[in-house]
Amino acid sequence: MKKLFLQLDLCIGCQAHSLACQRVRNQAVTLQSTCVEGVGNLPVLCRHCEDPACVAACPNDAMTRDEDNIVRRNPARCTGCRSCVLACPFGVLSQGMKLQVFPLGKCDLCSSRVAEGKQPACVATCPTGALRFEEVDEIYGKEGETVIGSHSVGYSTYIRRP
Amino acid sequence: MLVQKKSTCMLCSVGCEFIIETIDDEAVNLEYDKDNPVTGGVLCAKGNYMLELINHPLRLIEPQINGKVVDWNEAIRKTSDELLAHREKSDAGIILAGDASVEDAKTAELFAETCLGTGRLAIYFATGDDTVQKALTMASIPNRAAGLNDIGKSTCTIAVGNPFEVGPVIAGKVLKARYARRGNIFGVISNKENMTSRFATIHHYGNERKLLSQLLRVVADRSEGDELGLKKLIKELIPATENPDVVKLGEAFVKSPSSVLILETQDPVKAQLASAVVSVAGADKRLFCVNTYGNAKGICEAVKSTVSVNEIITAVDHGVIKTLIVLGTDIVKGIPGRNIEAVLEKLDFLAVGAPFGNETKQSANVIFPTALWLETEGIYNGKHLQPVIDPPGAALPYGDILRQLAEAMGKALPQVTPEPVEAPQQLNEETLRVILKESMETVPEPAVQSTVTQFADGSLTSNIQWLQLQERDAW
Ligand code: SF4
Ligand code: SF4
Ligand code: SF4
Repeated sequence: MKKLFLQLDLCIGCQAHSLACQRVRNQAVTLQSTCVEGVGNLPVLCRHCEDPACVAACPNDAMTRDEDNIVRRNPARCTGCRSCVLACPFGVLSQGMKLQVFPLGKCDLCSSRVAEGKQPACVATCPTGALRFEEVDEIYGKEGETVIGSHSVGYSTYIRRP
Repeated sequence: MLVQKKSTCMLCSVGCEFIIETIDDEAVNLEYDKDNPVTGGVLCAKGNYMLELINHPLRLIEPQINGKVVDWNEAIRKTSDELLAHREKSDAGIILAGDASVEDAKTAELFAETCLGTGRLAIYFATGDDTVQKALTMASIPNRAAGLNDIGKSTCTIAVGNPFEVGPVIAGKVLKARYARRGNIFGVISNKENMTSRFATIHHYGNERKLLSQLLRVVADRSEGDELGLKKLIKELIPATENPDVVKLGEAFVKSPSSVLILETQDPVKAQLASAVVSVAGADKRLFCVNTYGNAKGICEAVKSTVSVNEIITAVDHGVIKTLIVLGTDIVKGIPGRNIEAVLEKLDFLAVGAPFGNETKQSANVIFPTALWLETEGIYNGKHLQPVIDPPGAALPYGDILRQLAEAMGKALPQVTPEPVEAPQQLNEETLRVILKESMETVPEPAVQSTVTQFADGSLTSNIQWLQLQERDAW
């Protein structure tokens, strides 16, 4: 299965990924940035957890983890209670708290774009190539690269050179 | 039917390409040109807004006279009558946006000469006027401009200012080169820590003009040959420097087989100093300039008789200019530190042509809706661009408006074919003396604003601000 990875030493914090995400999702930012002191703005990616807290927290079965291992929100079922926002341990959904309009789109790894043979929008736009969309097995085996953050729930997200 | 058309982003001088998808003459999608040999289709945050620019809710689509919607004939007649009435007094000027095509800039030049009779034309870019580009053209040896691919292959890159903020797409190339081999150098000279300097292998913070002149001295000391015969003067005018960072950078720049200097500035003195560094360091060194948006290079090579925007504004202030045409720019917001609005009040007549509603048009007598470069055919920075879509409503390209005006004034302007005006002048002792003298003075330079505020109206700005607020509050 392909996942999003961030190569930390290439990310300049330009936030292009946010804008691209916002654009393809009609103004609903699902891939937000967070400010890390001394490092800059980094993208906060949905891990599409194996055992997602957001899905467990949703009282209306609006959040689901589908057969393709992608965690989605079904807007037709979402009442906007924001339980998922509170549940996500990574703060991925947190900007939803500020919005009047709910539900937001949620990252589904741009599955419709990927089905057309394109990259997810954030990966396609990233000016430095810091964001990558690759097979999990492949990225773990790459020479000269170490995956860090492997203690996080689900797949680890960040890679960097040794 | 879905049609894909390529175009180029004009919001900074990097010039990334992208694809606009249209259905029945309506732009529906922006797509990344992933087979692009230069950029691989990546775009920065600004580039992601190309579709929104085309379909912007504040696009102007009809001519107006004093706030009332009119048709083109009426707007043209009103403007040409005013210009004819003022013609005898020679008190007219024109300001043209830097996103005009070379052809339109040439037309504006002809218009200023034949129709206004004054030749007063200023070219204006979002981050200032064309003084930086002119300085570069003046001071550089021809054919020393770096392409993006040169940056990707460079073993020693020196950045001045904060190029990653203005043109994030070059960061991809710079970092590729920096990580390609242990020992590759990426130096940053800037007045303070910034987005670019975080990635530097060597950085030095301080007055950029001073540091650049120190770099010039180091490079002059270390490089071989003296093609321009300037080394003696450099050594005489710039004291030897002890600054270890600058010395290291200068040495690496000269020694490295492929060196690129990347300059982000709005200061013509720094532009000339950087050109001098590259010229003196050796024939294989290259310069890449990330500055003004638009067709800076193209226009400056083709149009020569321009005054600066500031000169025009000063002339308006002193009553020398009484009629003004402003095409495509928001000079009210764009020039910091001057109360432009009050100055424009002194005009007898102001005609503004703009793609969007902007502040300059508040005081305009006549408003023309204009086409974006995405909607016009023309030559931009050496590339021949085709329109991706028709202009909205009654909007017209700058050149067409000027030709119509000229016709109404009884002077037909020909369709122009652009050709370069003159070979750029080489750096000589006299110019070097002037630059070095000016480089001793410190001037405040306006800081780079957020990457996405260049079109300071509507959703383009508010989206970004919204993102930033979110991020602060949420964490
Ligand atoms: S677009 Fe790429 S470089 Fe820019 S902030 Fe996002 S991950 Fe980082
Ligand atoms: S808990 Fe957070 S990271 Fe995990 S699937 Fe849900 S939104 Fe994504
Ligand atoms: S780097 Fe410059 S040219 Fe490229 S997308 Fe961004 S603003 Fe446009």
